[in-house]
Amino acid sequence: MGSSTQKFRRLDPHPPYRDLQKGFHAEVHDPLYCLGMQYLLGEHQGSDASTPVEVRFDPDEIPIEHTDPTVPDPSATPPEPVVEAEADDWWTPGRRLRLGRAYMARKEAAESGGKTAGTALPAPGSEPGPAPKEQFARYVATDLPHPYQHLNGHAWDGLALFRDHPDDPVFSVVPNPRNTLGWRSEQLAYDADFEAKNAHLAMRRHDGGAMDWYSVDADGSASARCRIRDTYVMPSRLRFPGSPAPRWWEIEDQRVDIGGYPPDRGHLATLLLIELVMGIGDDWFTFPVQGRTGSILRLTNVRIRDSFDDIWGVEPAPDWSLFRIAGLDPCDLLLWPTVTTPLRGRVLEEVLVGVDEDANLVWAVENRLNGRDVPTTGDLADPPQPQTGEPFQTGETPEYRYRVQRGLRNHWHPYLLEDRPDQRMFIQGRVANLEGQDPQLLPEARAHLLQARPTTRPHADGRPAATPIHRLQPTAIPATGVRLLRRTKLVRDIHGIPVLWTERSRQPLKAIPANRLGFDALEVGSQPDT
Amino acid sequence: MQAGTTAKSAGGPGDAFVERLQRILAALPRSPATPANLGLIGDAKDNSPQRSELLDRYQHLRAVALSLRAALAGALDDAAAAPVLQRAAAWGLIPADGREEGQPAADLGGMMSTRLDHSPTSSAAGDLTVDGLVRAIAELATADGRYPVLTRFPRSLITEGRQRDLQGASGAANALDERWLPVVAAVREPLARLEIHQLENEGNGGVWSLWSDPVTLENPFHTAPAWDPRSETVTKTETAPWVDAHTGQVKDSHARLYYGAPGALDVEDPTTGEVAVGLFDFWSELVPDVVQDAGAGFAFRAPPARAPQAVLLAIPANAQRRLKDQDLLDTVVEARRLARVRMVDPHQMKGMRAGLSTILLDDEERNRVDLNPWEDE
Repeated sequence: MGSSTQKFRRLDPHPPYRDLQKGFHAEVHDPLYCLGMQYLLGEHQGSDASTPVEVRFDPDEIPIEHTDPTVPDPSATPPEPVVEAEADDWWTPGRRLRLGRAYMARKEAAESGGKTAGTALPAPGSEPGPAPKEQFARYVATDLPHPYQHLNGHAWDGLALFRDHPDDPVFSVVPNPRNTLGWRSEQLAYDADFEAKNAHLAMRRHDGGAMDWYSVDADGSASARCRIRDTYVMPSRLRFPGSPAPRWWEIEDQRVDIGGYPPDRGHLATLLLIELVMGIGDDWFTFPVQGRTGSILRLTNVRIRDSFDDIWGVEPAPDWSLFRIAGLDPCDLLLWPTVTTPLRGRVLEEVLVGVDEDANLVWAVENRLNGRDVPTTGDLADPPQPQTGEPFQTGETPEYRYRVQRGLRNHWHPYLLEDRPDQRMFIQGRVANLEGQDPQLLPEARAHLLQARPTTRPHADGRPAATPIHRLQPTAIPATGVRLLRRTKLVRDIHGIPVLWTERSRQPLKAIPANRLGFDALEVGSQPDT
Repeated sequence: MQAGTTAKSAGGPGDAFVERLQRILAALPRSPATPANLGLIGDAKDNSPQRSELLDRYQHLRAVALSLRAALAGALDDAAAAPVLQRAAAWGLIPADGREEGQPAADLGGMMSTRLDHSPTSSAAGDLTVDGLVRAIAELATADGRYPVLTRFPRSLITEGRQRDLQGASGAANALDERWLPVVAAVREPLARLEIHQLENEGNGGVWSLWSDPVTLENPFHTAPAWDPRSETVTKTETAPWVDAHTGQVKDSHARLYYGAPGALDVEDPTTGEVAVGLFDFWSELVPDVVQDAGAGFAFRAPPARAPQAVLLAIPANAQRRLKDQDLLDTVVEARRLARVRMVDPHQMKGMRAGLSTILLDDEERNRVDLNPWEDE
């Protein structure tokens, strides 16, 4: 009985047993091996399926508008300054100083008869000169930020002068202030409203910082057809780092390992990506759509022509979309003129806000004002305390000292809960120092972040409008507290024109600020009061 | 210019002078200008004349520091120590609390030795970059290393360029101090210090003069009022003014502004020689495009069939000999045989299939991949 022996040789990549990462990469350097594996896996078998070769669609562009004409055009300006700008953002420190000096120089020149208007101020570092006239005293700059602080008390504040003399020719260059401000001081967040024809775009409780399509919700339907162009483009297969290759044995990007992404609840996009890759990852196609920035881009009548010249209509999935704005049509895409890298100035103000559950109040702590860190203890620091548990010597009589109050801190501002039937609010208060002969109120909060917006216009005689007490909604403060920042930023609009604004932003804190304020305390280890 | 140390010991009426001196120092650029900063062709190997000059400066500074240390060590009596202590004061080396009893020269010599020990040797400095040399000079010359070090350029380089560019743009530069500087100074601290210097010196002749390249003078913010992107005439083919219409590439949009001490930028001054140039600040900004490229995706069941992706390239074994028809045939046959070897399916492998990695194979009948190789044995 004869026997035959068939002998085959097979080339396989060397199993990378020692390096798991190389195994993920599945490096193959043999094209014939790839070709053979394609054959084995049936990739060379014919199929009558088609391939998309052309996409035709009709894009609509619906420009975004703002109801307030004093607000920068939202179709040309990045949304951050449109929403976050403050009323006095034009007044940079340099402009305050220049226009203040120009106003006073004009005042001085207007005096006749050899008199002086009393506008001279001592230069920084020089001997103190005569005080300015009383009528000008309130125009001396006192709150210039870093690094201009050495000019406080030595220069005129153009902004203060402008508020009292807005019609002076010196201030003809000052633009009209905007009417609408987005900051909601009781919520510590921004609200803003935009229009897009019949659609209303609402931005609610924005924390400050980067904005994009996800920052707004819509109400109504932007039905106007503003610009229709029959556009046709060529689709291409969806590719992204680590995307599956169309062929099973095509060499893929070895630098990306989709299976290596740890999916978790915090990475919804990762979960979606893995679902996409593991599902029908190589059956997705994309096509480019050019849209005018600052508008809602709507795709209508999307048709796909395949390689057999068949036309297929495409409709969006009724129940799912990744870039959909609530309230808008599934085919709508909001295109803001976003800028990812604005120029950032130094942090002007930093305030920590946290709930003191024991005292049932909120503390707001000013850590930085006018670009400079401020001490929050100062001369109100507690005296040194004996260590807890320190034993007394036998026969020694402990000495106690009564303190009506201890734990006072500079720049700590309390907010007391006002529980009304209609709403609960934290009301800003002031701490009084009860340790002296007479109670002394500590200074008021100076940070702009802790000020309420004036609800009335300035008086006709020039007196500023009454500033209401700052209130906070309980829902504005998370359990771990919140960190508020205020800083100047600069971007350019689509014309290249710079837009300067002061941004407020809020970030969650990891730990709330702790305060040891207490009353009616006996301290051990001190001499008793006499 | 030992601002930090001197300020503590000055006291009294001199404080204002020292404070002013500190502000002037703070306003000066901290980084030296490189040829690339001035728009000149840079040297990729950093062999510019400016670097060579900085190296010479450092080596000379170190030699002087070494001689001072030797002089401090040799100053044994008060008479000999007095001039040496005066030299040491110029380096910011002052006896503690201003007292001169004890052995101040020896103490200061120890402080000088510490500085020298932390500075690179003259030979090691030859490998430093411009930034490294600047840091070495500042840290050796002062106690806190906060010392502006500038590079030197021919004065003609500045004045000739300014004279050429000022033609037709006279007076526009002055507006930048009022239009441009207050805006950018709000977000760029080095420019805020420059603005303070300008504000404090208005009226006393100390204001620094300004020169800018023509692009900046005509349009300090690169604006284009005549170009209205919201116009109905705008089409996809229109481009922003900072984009080359032919290539679609962004033009060189560098804007350079030169501030000079009084007289330094005076084109009428025939003085030649060198000027010290420093880099106040540099940054980049983005302008949002009028037209954004968005995209949409759709699912389409693509066919499983794919065209073969291998290209057979036949090369003669002897490069000096033409590839004959038979050689080409042999090559194709060999490639087919090699490919067939690679296409051995698991059934043909029989017992050897246990070594086949099946993790990447689809368990479909058409592929004939058996995931239970021992079942039929």
